[in-house]
Amino acid sequence: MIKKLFNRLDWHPAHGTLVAGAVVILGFALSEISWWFLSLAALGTFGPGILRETGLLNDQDEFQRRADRRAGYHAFLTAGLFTFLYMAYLRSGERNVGEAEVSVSLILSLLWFTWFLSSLLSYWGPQRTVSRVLNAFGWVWLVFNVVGNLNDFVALFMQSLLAVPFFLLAYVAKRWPIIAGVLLIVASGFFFYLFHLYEIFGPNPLERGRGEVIILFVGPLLVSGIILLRNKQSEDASE
Amino acid sequence: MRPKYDISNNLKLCRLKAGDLTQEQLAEKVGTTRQTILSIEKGRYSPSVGLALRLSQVLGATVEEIFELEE
Repeated sequence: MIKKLFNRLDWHPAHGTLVAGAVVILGFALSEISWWFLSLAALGTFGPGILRETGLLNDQDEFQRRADRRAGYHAFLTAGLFTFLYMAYLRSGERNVGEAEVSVSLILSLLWFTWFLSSLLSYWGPQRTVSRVLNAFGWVWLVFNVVGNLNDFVALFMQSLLAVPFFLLAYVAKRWPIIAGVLLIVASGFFFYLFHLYEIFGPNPLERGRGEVIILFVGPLLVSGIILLRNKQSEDASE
Repeated sequence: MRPKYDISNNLKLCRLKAGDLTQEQLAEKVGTTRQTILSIEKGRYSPSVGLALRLSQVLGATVEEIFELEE
């Protein structure tokens, strides 16, 4: 059954990756009990890579190895560049960025999500990746909305409508990537202003989770748009 | 500027010629995943020399018949 699901998703992760994914989820879930369990997430994220590099685990074929290394390099470039710029920002004056763990979480999120998005791109190609990311945004919104508005049908209905643009964009991304690319870039700019994310350049840049919103929401929209515009070859929508 | 080599392929055609193999069957024969075969066919991935030779062996075609350097 699991094999069928992966075939349907056109995603064939190595066994080590599957086990590691479960360990990561377990680590995050148990961190509600104690933050020490977060080390399980670290073990799941980096453990397989360390074992593979030391030759103790050989569960990937050459395409999976390349996808992994490419994603690692992209994560290094993005998180490394951000960390240097952030360090320059912090050292160049009195800064108010809150607790150290906020900054560390931000860098970790950037590292992890860049790696994840790059892996998906290798496996699925630009159009399918963007389309599925947008569908995932839509579904996440719907689930949170249903959980949060169970007692208020009108609010549930009205707020559920906000998921529709994501599903529409996901559809457009598969068929008309250039149009979707432009729309996504415009949408990222719109949300940047809507959520006052420009205040990240102000005196309290990381206040109210601005960094996370950029990395988890606005950033992926922008990157998805750029990816679609740079995608020279249109993929077969039915693949 | 260093040259960039674009490689196109006829893997799908060769796979069908070699007894209508599915991507899954070919992947199994050459010891890789269906994802890899799919990515090669879509032109998203150029295989290593080792895998190219193994594909040529299994499909009974020369490497040049399967892969071409694009001008």
